[in-house]
This record gives sequence, structure tokens and C-alpha cells, in this order.
Amino acid sequence: MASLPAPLAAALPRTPRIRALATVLAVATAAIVPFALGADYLFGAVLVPILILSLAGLGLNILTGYAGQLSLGSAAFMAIGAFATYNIHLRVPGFTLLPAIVAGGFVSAGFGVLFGLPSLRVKGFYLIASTLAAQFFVPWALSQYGWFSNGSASGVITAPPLTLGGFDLDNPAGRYAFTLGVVAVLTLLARNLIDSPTGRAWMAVRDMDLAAAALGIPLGRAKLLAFAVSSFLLGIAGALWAFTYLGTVEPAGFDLDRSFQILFVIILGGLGSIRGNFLGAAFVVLLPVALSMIGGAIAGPSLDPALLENAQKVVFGALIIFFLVAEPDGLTRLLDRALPYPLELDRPDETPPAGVAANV
Amino acid sequence: MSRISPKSFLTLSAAATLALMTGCHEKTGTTQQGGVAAVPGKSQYFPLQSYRVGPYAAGGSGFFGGFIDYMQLVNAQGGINGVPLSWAECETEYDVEKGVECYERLKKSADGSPTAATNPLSVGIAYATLDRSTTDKIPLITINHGRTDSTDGSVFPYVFPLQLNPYSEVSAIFNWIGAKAGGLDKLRGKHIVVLYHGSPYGKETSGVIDTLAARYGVTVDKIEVPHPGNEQQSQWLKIRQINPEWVILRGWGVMNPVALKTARKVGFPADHIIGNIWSNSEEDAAPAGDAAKGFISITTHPSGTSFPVLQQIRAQVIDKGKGNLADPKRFGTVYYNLGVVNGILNVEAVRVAQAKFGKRPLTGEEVRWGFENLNIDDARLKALGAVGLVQPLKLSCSDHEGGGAVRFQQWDGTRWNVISDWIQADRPLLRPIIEASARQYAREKGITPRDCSKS
Amino acid sequence: MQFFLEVLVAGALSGVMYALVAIGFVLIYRASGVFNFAQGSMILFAALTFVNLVERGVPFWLAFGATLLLLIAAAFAIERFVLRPLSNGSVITLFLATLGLSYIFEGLSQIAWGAQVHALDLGISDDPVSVAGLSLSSFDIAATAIAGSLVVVLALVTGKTNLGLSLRAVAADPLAALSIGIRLDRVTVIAWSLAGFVALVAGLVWGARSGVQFSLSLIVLKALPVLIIGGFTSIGGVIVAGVLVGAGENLAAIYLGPTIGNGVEGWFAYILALVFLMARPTGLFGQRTWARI
Repeated sequence: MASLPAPLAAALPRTPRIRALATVLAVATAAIVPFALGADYLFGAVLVPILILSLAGLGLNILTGYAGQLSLGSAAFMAIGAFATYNIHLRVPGFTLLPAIVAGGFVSAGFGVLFGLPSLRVKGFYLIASTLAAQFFVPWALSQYGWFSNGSASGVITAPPLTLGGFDLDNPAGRYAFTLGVVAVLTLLARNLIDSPTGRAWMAVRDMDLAAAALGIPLGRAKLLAFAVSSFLLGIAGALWAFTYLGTVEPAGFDLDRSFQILFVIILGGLGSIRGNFLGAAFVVLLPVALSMIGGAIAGPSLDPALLENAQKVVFGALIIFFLVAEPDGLTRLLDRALPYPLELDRPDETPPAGVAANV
Repeated sequence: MSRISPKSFLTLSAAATLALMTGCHEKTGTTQQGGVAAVPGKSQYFPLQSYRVGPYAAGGSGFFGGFIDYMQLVNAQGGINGVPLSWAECETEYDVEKGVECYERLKKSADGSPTAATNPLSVGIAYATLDRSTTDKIPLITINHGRTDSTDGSVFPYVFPLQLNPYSEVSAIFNWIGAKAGGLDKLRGKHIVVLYHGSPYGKETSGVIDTLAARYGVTVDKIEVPHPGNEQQSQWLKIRQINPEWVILRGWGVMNPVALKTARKVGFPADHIIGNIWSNSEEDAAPAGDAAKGFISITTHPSGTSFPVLQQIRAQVIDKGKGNLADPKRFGTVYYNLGVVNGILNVEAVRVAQAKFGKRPLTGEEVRWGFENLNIDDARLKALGAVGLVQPLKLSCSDHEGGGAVRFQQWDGTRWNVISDWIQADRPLLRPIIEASARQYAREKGITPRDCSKS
Repeated sequence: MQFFLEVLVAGALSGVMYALVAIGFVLIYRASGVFNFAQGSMILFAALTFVNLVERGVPFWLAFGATLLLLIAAAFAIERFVLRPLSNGSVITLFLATLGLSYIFEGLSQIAWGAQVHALDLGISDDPVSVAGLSLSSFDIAATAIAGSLVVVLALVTGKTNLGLSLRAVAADPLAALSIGIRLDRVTVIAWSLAGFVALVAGLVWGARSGVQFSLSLIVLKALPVLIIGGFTSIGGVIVAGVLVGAGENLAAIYLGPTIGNGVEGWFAYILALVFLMARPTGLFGQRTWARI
């Protein structure tokens, strides 16, 4: 990285202003460019899932990247959010879609605290027992008891048409706008939370929890709060997945593979980084598309779909390893290094030390 | 320390992202095109939500292999009255979400040819795309499975559980068991276990099983096997404790051979296990080895390669190197033949519709009329080269199933041998239940049922 | 009562087979400090390769040997291209690398050998046999014997040989081991090859039990609670834990199932693991770790 001449460095605006500027720029780009390009498929199959996975990644990042608690059950909390939103919207009078989504997030947060209780006693890798228990129990419960899906024989729920305050958003562009709004607001709120003493406490717990306890940080409360906030965001991501992306969900769609997918988002994007979530989500969503386009270009229409599917798996796995080897701090660090001068959008002490989640 | 030159990576990925996003349209994703469209937009298009990987790959690859091979045959013979067939595949892995995504991506063809029908071969995906299909006016074909009350076409104009719906399947099995016992009245007091796959498909028949059990005085235990079903020890220990007369296996994919092996492990005889229409293929029995000998199952069509239509496929498609099966030994197996039967029925529907609307690529609405007016009798079967392969079918506005009869076959270690004549389901008994359920659905969705006497 | 005992014992025997899978994890965890999620896919890869060779007429032991060679080659590749570059990585990084590995193994297995279900015949018949008045599966008993002998062999290798000593040294402190001249890369390859061998045996046993197909790799999800309860570092521990999990799961499915619902066995083992963890946060036999500020 080139070092800047002293006068120029002194003249650069302070980090917070740059960060605010960058955020506004990003949101504006996201809000305007896609509408200019049009293309329903772009909205419905690319941008909306990227946004939702970024939100899910944000949730998991708070728990794993900032608070250092490894979780393999993210999809279970998404499922809780989706089904809770559906049931609240369906059964509780007065709850239109947006309040229902928020309420669903709170339900998910409650369960997050429940499954986070073991973290008070169990440390390290063993903690995956708790989130894995959630990962297997929740989809089972949701499909076993027909009440959750309003008696559907298959456990499948269908989202009602998307309306907000009288506006009909039930088209690809509308769904994108809705999702963008929700994700942008939540990201800003998360950013503020991370900057606050709560976020600092989380990072202390992550880096060395004994030292944090010695300093007087209430470990239990910090960990449970991390679980709660994380599950809140994951729950809303799940609700969006059902209501603005797929329109139809079943419990089996929130399986272990989905949890791994979100884990990939945050690892590839960068642990302890907000913008990393977006980068990671974009990578995860666009990679299969890219691979099949390349596959189609190489082999033409006679390509065996099974072969393509399996080749995708191999390439994905290889790329994961390649990334972990070449840039363990994720795409966000890559972005940092590529820019002409240090933006320092994430403060250096936010990203975990070169042994992430040292307690684990 | 980063080993990638950040700038080059960044420019490369930015360029790639931009290219992807602007190049993205229906063609992307795991979609494979096929068929002949000499003039873009002038073929009859079939979207295929297929699955060739995952625990149910055997069924999917066999079925879609047969379906595609039949379409290749039709194209080789000049298409349907000169209209060629085209198709595009999208991998669903039997996953509902992927199935819905594939539906949305594939429902319109890339070159503007009109869509004839969707054949997702999955109850879960069928449930999830039912409303969309009706709104989009594309027939949803669920051969030998599906949402049972969609048999009543007055409420479900666009859904067709061809040949056999799940209720008929169970009823036919009960009738056969009854015949074996010397009469349905002799079933009173007997004990039967239904071992079903933990999925929408498996749960579809729970209600009617209870009804039939109550009617004939049979005690039925329903035991679920969670997907994918590769561990069934506790289920079979329970079955051994119950010691029923018969076990009805409503399995799918890997659950089937595991069931047979585990049954052997606990000492339950294979010839008292009756597999349903999705536990009846060679790929279900062979991997269980010895444990499968004597296993009985139902089928709407036999396996085998002697049928004239299969001979034609061999001559005009497979020998010319256009066969779709990865393993050519599967030609003529049960799932493959089901795909061929499905192809025959889909194409025949288009043909019937063309007779009314004109010999050109038809819209979904027009093909729907074709399905509803399918009338395949012995003479037509002879012309199609499918006598003995397809049962005579007559559909109508109120009856989207059209058949409802099965034959029983038994596995001898290498092949299936047919051991019974056509056994009919008790359709008069089932009809009121189906109609009640359909009316309920109509009420919930605010649909006014069509008046079938008029169409 | 007899039924209860049969359920208990049958479950315990299955549990030993879960432990068979878990042993591979323990070997790698002790040698590389890595939780190798790819173990399940290695099992699938091993079983598919073996069964396809046998179906093409290759004799049993030749196929066994060939598959083992492939796994050893994989161990070399993994050490060179995944573990060595990531040797400074965190636990999560390494875990994710093995996740990537598992995708690679799965994809390659199915590209090479297809997606069909194969029967695997080990020559052990699966008729029920009567032991002390209980009707048990002869195959399960044989599988338990296989697992038992494997454990004995591994215990001898790690306990009595120089190689075993090197493995334990590397597990205890890799830097110290390096400094006294132990070839870290060689030891790692050996550990992963041993794990490959275990995966092959597990693949054969499970393949014979439920057929060789793609869901075989999902067996790792059953081995995880066994590992968590037994502790990641003790082979004997996972056997005990396996018995606990297998028996518990079976009993829960049969006796709790009617009240709670079908399919309890999907999550019961994990809840059981959680309960055990609350009592012993590092598993029944795992190493207690000390942390310093």
C-alpha cells in the first residue's frame, strides 16, 4: 500500500465522515441503479437473496464475529422468524406485515436466548452442540405440528401478497425496495450497537473472556444479548426469505446446508465486518450462477445436469479453501487492500486477531 | 498476508459481477436445453423441474430419462403434427424451494415457445406451485401422485393426478389384501402397519387410511420414517413388536432398500411387505440384495422392453446416441417406463388439443383442455405401441385421474413379475371424500367450482 | 421387558457403529487440532470407490487396498494444500476448510461414480440371531466386533509404537514436537491416512448396513453428538458415548415417539449431548483445558 504524502494525509476527512459518506453512497447505488437496469430476474433471483443473506450474515457475524460464539444453527432461527411472522400475521388481529415481521424477530430472539443459555457454561467448539440441537429440533417441530403451517399437509406456508400501507409491492421491484429498506435500517441499527459499549463488551468476550470478566464485564449478559440480537436479525432475515423472496417456504428449506451457507457468507466476507456480509452474500449467490454459465459455455446444451451440479460442489469447496488460504480475513480485507488509500471503514480493532474467536 | 493481488482480483470480480448481473436472465442456473426448435418460438415447450442428484436421484433420473427419450422419439418422427417439442431442465434436488425457483425461472421458454405443462414429480413442489400454475394457466401434471382432491377438476382445473391418485393407490392395496384374505369382510380384526416417508407425499394418505381402516374394521398403525430414511431401526423394531399381517411401504428413494434390509434384520418377511407406486422399481429392490426377495409392490405399468413404443425409442433414439440415461441398463425399468408413459400422456393431450385448436404450438390453456378430454382406449393404445404399458384412461372435467387401477408385482431377486390382474380402487367410496376436500379448498380460496355438466 | 432390552441392545450396537465414524474425527483432532467435517464425505468416497471397483470385478482385498491408496494420496494432498497453508489459522478457519473439503469429496465421488444406490455385500448375513433370549441382528454384532478390534488396534498403535508416541506429542504441543525433530508433515499425513482407513472400514460397515449412496455422508451428523458427549480427544470415550447415544435414541424413538411425534431420532441425540455438556462442559472424557489471562 502506498503511503501518502503528509499534507494529503492530514487533509483527508476523518474516518467517521468517510464512513457515513460511503454508506450513503452504497445505499443510494443500491436504491437507484437496479431500478435503472430493470430486469425482474435481477431483482427477484439475485438482489433480494443477496440482501437477505447479508442480513442473515450480519446476524451470525454479531454472534460469531463480534461475540466469538460459534453457531451452526442460523437457519433454525431464520425458520422461527419466518413461521412466527406467518402465524402472527395470520392469527393476531391488527398485525400487518411489517409489525408481524418485527414481532417474528422478537420471537426468534427469545429462542436465541434459550439456545444461548448453554454458552454460559460451555466454551469453545463444544458449544456447537447447542446451536446444532436448535438446527435439528426446530425444523422437526415446525413440520411435525400442523398448527405452525395452519394445517397444511406438507408444512409448507405460502406468503400473502406483499403490501405496505396500501402500496402493492407484490412485484419484483417492490419486493426489492421493501427488502432494501428493512435491511438498510437494520444494518444501521446494528452498526450503532456495535459501536456502543455493548459491542465493545462483545469483542472483549471474544478476544479473551477471562480478561473481560476480570474487568467487570458481565459475561453472561453479554453473551445472551449477543444471542438475542443475532437471532432477532436472523429471524427477520427468515421472514424476508419467506415473504419477499420465495413466497413459499417449508421447514426443510432451513436445514444445516442453509446454516453452512450463512457461515460461508461471513467467513468469505470477513468476520467482524459489516460490509463483509454484503460482499460474502454476493459471492455466495452469484457463484453458482457463474459456474453454470461457464459450464454451459464450455459444454453446451448437452451438459449433464447432474455433472454440473456436482462440479459446482467441487468448485465451491475448492474456492472456499482457496479463499481461506489466500485471504483469511475475507473479501472485505481484499477490498481494503485494493483501494488507493486506506478507507478504514471498519476500525482495525473490530476485526478479530489473527486467530479468530480465540476462545474457541 | 494476502497472496492475491488485490487490485487484479477486485477488477476481475467487479467485471464478473457486472457481467453476471446484466447477463442474468431465465437461461442462467442449472438449466439445460433440449429439443428441436427449427424456428424460435414455434415449438411446444415443456419445462422440466428434474432432479438427478440427492437421495431421490434414482427415481428422478429414471423418470426424466424416459420422458426426455420419448420426446426425442416424437421429434424424430416429425413432432406432433409437425410441431417439434422443446424442453429445459432445472435441478431441484427434490427440494421445494428449488422446485419453486425452477418453476419461476422455466415457466416461460427462452425462445418464446408456449408452455404446455409442468411435471415436477414431487408432491411438495406440486403443492407449492399449485396456485401459481392456476394463475399462470399452465397445467400441473402429477402422474401417480399429487394432491388427491385435485382429482375433482371442477375446483382444480389446472391440476391432473393422472392415472392414479394417492387415495386410489391405498384403496387398491386394501382391496387386494382383502381378496387375499378371502374377502374384505374377512379383514376385520387384522393388524396392518403403514410405514410412510416423512414428507408431504408420505403424509398425503393418512386421512383415507383411517377411513378405510374404520370401514373394514382393521387396526392400522402409521409409522413415519424421517427423510431421507437411511436409518429405520427403531421403526422396524416397533413393527416387529406389533407383528402385523401386512406392512404397506409408502417409501421413496433410499428409504426403500433400507426398509427391506432392516426388515430382514428384525426378521419380518419380505413377502408381507407391499410397496406402493413409489416403492416399486428395480432401483428400490436391487440394492437390498437378498433381503428384497419376495417383496410385493403395485404398479400402473410393467417394466420390460418388449413394448413397440420402447422398441421404437431404442431404434430411433438410443441407438442413435441420443439416449438420456447415464446408465443404459436402466432402459425398460419401472421408473424409466413411467417417464415414457408420462411422455405418452403429455403428448397425447397436446395432440387431442391440436385437433380442436389447430396444428400449431398451443398455450397452456389449450393444452389443459386436451388433458381434460384425454380418452385413450385400446385402439389408441395399439396405435401408440403401448398396449399393456398404459392402462385405458378417460379423463373429464370432474375426473382428472381417469384410471385408478393397478397390478401387483413381486421381486424375485432379479426382476419384477406381475402376480395379479388389474385391481381397481374403490372409487365410489373415495369420491365423496375427495369432493368434500375439494369443496373445502374452494371455500378457503374463494373459488367458484366450475359446472362440469357444461364442459 | 424383553422388547425393552432388545431396543436397548439394538440401539447400543448401532451406537458402536456411530462411534466407528467418530473415531476418525478423534484421530484427526488429536493430530491436527482440526475438527474434520469432511470425515462423512470421506466415508462416502471410500464406500463408493470400493463398491464400484468390486462391481467391476475387482477382488475384495485388491479393491480395499486400492481405495486405501487413494485415501492416502488424498491425505498427502490435504496436508500439502490445505493444512500446511492454514497452519496458523484459527479453529473456525480450519473447520471451514474441512467443510470445503467435504464438498469436494462429495462432488468428486458422485461425478466419478454416479448417484445410484449400490448394494454392498460383506459376506455377513443379516438374519436375526437369538442371544440370551433376545433377538438381535447378526450383522450388528459382527459390526460391533469389527469396531472393537479397530479400537484395540488403534490403541496399540498410539500407545505402544514410536509412531503413536509422535502422534501424541504432536497433539500435545506441535511446536515442541517440531523442535525435537518430529516431522510434522509426515505425522499429519499418517494421522489423516489412519483416519482414511477408519473411514473406509466405517464406509464398508455402513454401506453394507444401509446401501452405498449419497446419504451415507449424512452419518456424520449422528457421529457429532457422540463426539460431543465423549469428548473430542478420547477414543474410548466415543465408544461409551456411542453406546449411550445409540441406545438413548432408539429408546426415545420408541417410547417417546407416540407422545411427542415421529422422527424424534433426528434431534434427540443433540439434546442429549446438550444435557451432558451442561454437566461436563468438555464431554465425558475430553481433556479439560486451562486458560490463562
